[in-house]
Amino acid sequence: MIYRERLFKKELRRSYLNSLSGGRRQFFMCVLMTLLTFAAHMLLRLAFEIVLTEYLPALTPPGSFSVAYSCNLTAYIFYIVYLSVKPDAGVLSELRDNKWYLFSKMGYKADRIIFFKTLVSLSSAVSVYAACFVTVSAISYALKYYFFAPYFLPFLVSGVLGVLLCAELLILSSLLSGGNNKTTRLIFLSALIINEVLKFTLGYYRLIGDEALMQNTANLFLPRYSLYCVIMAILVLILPLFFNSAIRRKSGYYLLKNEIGGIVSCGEQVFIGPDELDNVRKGSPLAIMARVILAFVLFASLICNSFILTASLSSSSREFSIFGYIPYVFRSATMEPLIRKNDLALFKKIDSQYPISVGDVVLFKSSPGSTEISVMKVTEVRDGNLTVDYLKYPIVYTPGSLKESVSRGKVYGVFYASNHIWGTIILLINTLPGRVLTILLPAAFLIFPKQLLAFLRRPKKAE
Amino acid sequence: MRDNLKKSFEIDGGVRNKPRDFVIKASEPADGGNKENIAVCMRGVSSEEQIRDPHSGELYPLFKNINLTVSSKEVWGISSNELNSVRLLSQVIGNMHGCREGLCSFGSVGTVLKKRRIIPHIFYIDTHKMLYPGKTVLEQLMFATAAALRFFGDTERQLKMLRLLENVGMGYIALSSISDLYDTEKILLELLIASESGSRLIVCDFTAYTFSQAEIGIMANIANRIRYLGKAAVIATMQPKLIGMICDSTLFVCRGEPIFCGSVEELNKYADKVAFILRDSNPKVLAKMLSCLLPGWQIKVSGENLYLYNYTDKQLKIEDFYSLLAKNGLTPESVRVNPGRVENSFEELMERYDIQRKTV
Repeated sequence: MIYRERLFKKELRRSYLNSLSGGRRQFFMCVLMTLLTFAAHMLLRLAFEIVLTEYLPALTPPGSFSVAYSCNLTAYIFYIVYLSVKPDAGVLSELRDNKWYLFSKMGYKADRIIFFKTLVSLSSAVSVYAACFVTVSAISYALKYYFFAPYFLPFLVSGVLGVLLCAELLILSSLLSGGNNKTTRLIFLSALIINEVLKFTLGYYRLIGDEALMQNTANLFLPRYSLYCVIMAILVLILPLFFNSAIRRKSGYYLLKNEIGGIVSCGEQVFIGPDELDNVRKGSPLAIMARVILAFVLFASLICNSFILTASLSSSSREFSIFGYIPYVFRSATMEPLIRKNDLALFKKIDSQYPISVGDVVLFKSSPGSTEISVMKVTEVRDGNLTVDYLKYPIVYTPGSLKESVSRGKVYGVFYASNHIWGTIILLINTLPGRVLTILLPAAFLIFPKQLLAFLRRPKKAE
Repeated sequence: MRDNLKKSFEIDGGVRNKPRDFVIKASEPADGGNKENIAVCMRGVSSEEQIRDPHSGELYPLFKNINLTVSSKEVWGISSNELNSVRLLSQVIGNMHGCREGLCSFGSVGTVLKKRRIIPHIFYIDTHKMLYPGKTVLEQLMFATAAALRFFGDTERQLKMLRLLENVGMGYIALSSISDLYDTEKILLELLIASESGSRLIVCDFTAYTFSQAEIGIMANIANRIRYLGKAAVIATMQPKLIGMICDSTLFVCRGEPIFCGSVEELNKYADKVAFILRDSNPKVLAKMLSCLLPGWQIKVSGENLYLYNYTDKQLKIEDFYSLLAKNGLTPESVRVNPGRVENSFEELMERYDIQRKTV
């Protein structure tokens, strides 16, 4: 086998097994992203059923719309996580290791290498995303899941824009940080936060949440709907030109591995005193602080979870009270706007002597010993009997048709307060991912910190 | 340059036979001051950085008043008792770092104000990470030389590369993946690639690496090739053995001061005072008898070995030493003439320097 010079591009591609452009890595990422897309879609459907819709309605549009949207969202988050964990995927890791130095000394032109490497990085990111998007669409169509063709292109374009932006922001961060991984991550994540703020303020989420507008690709770039895509498209086109000149300038310099500066203290690392040795054994102050925070998070989440678990288990048959208050996660919209769906509502436990007046919202059982409980508003008080009614009727019922009369003796609680955020948290923590996030992970990191860190930092296998 | 590169592929030349017939002193360039043949010239160079003595707390520069001239076809080894001194010195020689005072000029290029700027004259190596881990050694070599040596056909170039690898002793890893190599093997490959580049001076900071005997042998072959191609190399190392086996000349810095600058032969002759190494089952008795026979000599016993230091002005030939032993009925198990070891020389230099400092 002869290794020819004209195999330059092929050889260069083969050299990047660790980066985004390795063939096997691309395939693996595509499969993973497809699976994650469907998982995210199911989770969003679940979120639609509970509370997220109220906070982020753009994330939970119905039908096929959400499959395409889930794909874009998954790809975006996937690249953010991947590039944050592996900032070396950026072009400048080559510069940091002086790989370009060797080639520039051997007569290669830096421009050509820079151009090709940037192109390979960006095109790899886009091709992985595009392959994932097409696969997701094909699977949706094959499974006769909701699939609406006009959404295909607009979502693909917006997804490509998002992925390109991610990859270019990483290169920019790498350039600004001078190759330091921690600084690169910090700048990259800060840039992404700014990007998210821009998305919200420039109405990007409103635009892509609109089923009618998202049937035409041109709408993405019409300033009257949102300026975001226009600005980002310009940025995506301009950034590579900036990279080229900046990287060309940087590639003219060697990056020293063993930098020496100022006054060098000799022998500090060799002679460690007993006090310092204790510190070494205990770990750095930062590590101790991290453990304390982790322990606090675990303790707090354990208390929260035990409360939440009890609250979520509470029903008419298994009711409990804390300091005289009965908590309920309200799963009905019949008392809106006073108590919204998915609110955590607290009812004050009362006895038969407690004065109830018109306008109070009361908790009662239809009959003694019954498991069915109701929450209604008192509209009239007469002779020890209360007339109660719902605040909001479902569409199929005529207002006032569910009004009923309840004897005072059946009422044992009166509405005290409600909180929507706590209700949201309870519902989310009650899911499997919620339990893993709040209990299992902190506990695992607290109990097996070394093993987990060693696992996360395990050496790479030989290529 | 093209002729020079073509010459670089006369593979059989310059690898096996190490030309050691020239001895150069730093202050006197071998070519009589011809600037074209000088790779780097330093005059009165001192470092800005200072080091704190762990015992006295006293501050002193990492190096001061360095005078060094490296000409083509020379391989220099620089070392010090302080790691940072030798590391910084190699960075200054490689135009990676500035200095507080003095002049550092790079042959015909002259003084370069922009530090770390990649200049064609110098090839600087301080890391093994310059290579692509996904390639084999031969692939990397082919890839690296493709642009510079495009006038050769692919087949011809590949054959030459294989022969080159075999001749320097790296044939056994020619088809190994770079990710499977040791760091020191990667460094050797980088040095080999550097030797084939257009740079006239190769500056190597090998202070972070320790090479095995076999690897030093390979490096010696590459060093011979560098000499043959008319280039120069400066190797910064903390391994005196490497300097002894590879370099023609050496600069040794102790507490920031250059205490030796000259050829390795001169160094051993000047500083390594161990004349003979004897081995005997009863070394203490033998040492006692020899100390009476050899006035002015110093004898050190280490295990079953006796090290005989000659501090007199008179040299004692091996045959005279044998006859002295025979006349007195001494029959040690073995007698060896010390070939000269750079480790001993450096130790001796440091001891003398310490004594001198204390006296002053």
